[in-house]
Formats: sequence, C-alpha cells, structure tokens
Amino acid sequence: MKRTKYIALFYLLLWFVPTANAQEKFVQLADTRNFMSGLEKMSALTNTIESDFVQEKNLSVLAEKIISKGHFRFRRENNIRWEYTQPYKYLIIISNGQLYTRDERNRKVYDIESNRMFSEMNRFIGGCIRGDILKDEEQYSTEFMESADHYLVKLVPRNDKMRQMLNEVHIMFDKKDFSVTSIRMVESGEDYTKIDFVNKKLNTDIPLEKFSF
Amino acid sequence: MNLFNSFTPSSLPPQSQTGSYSWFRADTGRFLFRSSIDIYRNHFSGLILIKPTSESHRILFITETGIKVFDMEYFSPGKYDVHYCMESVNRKPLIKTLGNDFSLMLYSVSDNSRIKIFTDSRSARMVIRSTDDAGKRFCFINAKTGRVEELVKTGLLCNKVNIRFFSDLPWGPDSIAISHYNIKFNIRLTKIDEN
Repeated sequence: MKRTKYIALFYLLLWFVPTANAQEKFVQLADTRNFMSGLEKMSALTNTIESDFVQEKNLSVLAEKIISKGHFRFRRENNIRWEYTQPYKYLIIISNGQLYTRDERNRKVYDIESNRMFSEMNRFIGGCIRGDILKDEEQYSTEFMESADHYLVKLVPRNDKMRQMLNEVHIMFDKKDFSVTSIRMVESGEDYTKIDFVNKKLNTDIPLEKFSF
Repeated sequence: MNLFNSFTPSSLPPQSQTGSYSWFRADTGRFLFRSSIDIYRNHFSGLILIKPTSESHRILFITETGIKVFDMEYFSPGKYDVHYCMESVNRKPLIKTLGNDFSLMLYSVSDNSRIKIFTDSRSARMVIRSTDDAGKRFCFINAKTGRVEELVKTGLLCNKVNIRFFSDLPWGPDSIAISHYNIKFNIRLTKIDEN
C-alpha cells in the first residue's frame, strides 16, 4: 500500500518545471523526511500527467549529442504512454503488464514479466518515472541533496551487472512543487542520457484509449 | 550460371583511388540512422551512430530511449574492438557477424585491398573486385554518386553477404540494407534527418 502511494506520488510530481541550471551547487539534504512527505502530499492530488520531454543522449568520448523530443502521458494507476516525435517516431505504451512498441516498420507486444531484459528495463525505467525506485533500497543506494531551487536524488545500483550498464541515476525535483524536472542516467564511460520534462499539465482528461494498442 | 559472366576487364578512371568510392571516409562527418536488425525470429530496433575519424570509425547502437547496446571501433577491414556490449546481447556469433558486416559496410573498397576493375555489361556499372583481410567482394559503383551502390561478398562456393546503399547524392546514404544469403540475418538502416 505504501509502495503504491509513493508510485502515485511520483507520477504526480512529474508536473513540470524549467530545467535546472547545470552550474548550481548541491549540498547534502539534512531532512529527507520533509522531502518525502512533500512528495506524498503532491501525489495524492494527481490522477493524470501530461508533459513534453526533451531527451539528450551525450556520448562523451565522441563529443556527440543526439537530441530527441516527444510527449509523455500517465494515467493512474499504471498506464504510461511515451511517444517520440522528433527526429524519429517511436511509441512505447506500458499498460496491464504488457509493453507495446511501434516504429515506422514494426509493432511488438511483450509480456513484461516473461522477458528478463524487458522486465529489468521496465522495472528501472518505470521506477524512475513512477518514483518507486527511490524506495528500492535493495537494488539502489540513495543520496539526497539540495540546492536553492532543487532536490537531487542520486541512485547507485548495488548490483554489479546493473552497474555495468548504469553507474548512477540522478532525479531532480523542483523545490516549489516537488515536480520532477529531469532524470539523468549516467552510464559507464561517462556517457549519459538526460530527460527534461517541460510543459506539464496535471489532471487533464486523458482517455484510456491512449494506452490501448 | 555465373553471376559475373557479364564482367569485362577495365581500369580505374585517371586520378581515382579505390577508397574514394566508400561512403564513410574521415571527412564525411557523423551519420545517424534508424536501425532495424532481424535475426531469425528476433527483432531489434534502435539508433546507429557512425562517426568516422582520422584513424578509425566508431559505431554505436543505442535504443530509442537512449540505452547503449554496443560500441565498436573499426580500424581497418576486419579489424575492430568492442568497447562495450550489453550483456543480454553479448553473444560471440552475433558480435562476430555484426563486426564483419559493419566492417564491409565501412570499408567496402579499401585502399589496402588487391583490386581488379571490371565493367558490368548488363548495368554499365564499374565493378571493383577487391581482396583483403575482410575477404573477396564485388563493389558496384553508381555512376551518378561515385559511391558504392551494391556490395556482394563471396564465399568459397556461394555469395555470403549483400549490402545495398540507397542515395541519389554523394555525401551520405539515405538507407542501407545488409542481408545474408545463408542465414536469416538482415539489417536495415535509414538516415535520420536531425534538422
């Protein structure tokens, strides 16, 4: 029950804010209880979230960036629609224990639990979006920080295999409203993927058909 | 029936170098492709970044959501390093096949290969038969773009791999199709317009 609460909470948090300044300084967060209770309060009020997103894939060795954009939709309890629109079209829908993907040439439906890789990926990506990853102490060690404007939660996978793929995950929240402003996934070799959420709308009417396939 | 019966010996145009017919050279900048890889009944989609440098070529495959799947660096035909490969796809036969296919794609006609030039009387295309560490292959040159249009890698008894490059302009392929004759292993790359 408590887990569901945090999941709902986090969704709610995704209501948008401007991107954080890369230069801002963070210090250790003294009172994490205040932060977590702030999240809970916000979550209780949210049933749907809509947001645009900008994804930046940074390949450090090659000094290359790949920018993609799209639209994100969430509807309680567990429906996610993640749609890339530029510069390529790609759709991911997670609903009823299934993961659906569609590109220009192919459509696929996966039973999430039947495929280990998808199960892991879904647990991780879904966990970041929903926020339940913050409570997954068995899989991740967490560090809470703050700046003048933001909270920053750093997650480090405890599992060696997971760490080969992801060194750290940084989730940033706006202090004013506890909304998630960005998620940064840092890979081995310092490559990272950063997703900024912008133009967020809460509790709009998102029909269930948006999550069917 | 011999596929190459229509070939008659010819020679390179004056001041031409075989390497100049390849699509991926040090001065061509980066390429970003939408990729689709079908291996028997498995399908993988994602993005492939190809970045030529002065000393090597780097090929990275990432998912649409930004997760890196593999990172390979190519130095010359058949010579490459795997910098990273996600554990779930890190299978020796798969990596070897991908490594060889991308090597052929990058170094379709290398300056280090032993070559013979032909003209294909059926299509009037120039054909370069080259042999190096990556094996023997026939490259069909498009007269309009001056780049490789089709590549056929031959084996001892039959053809092994076919690579087709689609483009009307010389500065980059719009799409590339890599297919194997003897196994169900196909790769399709389609250029992403980032502007």
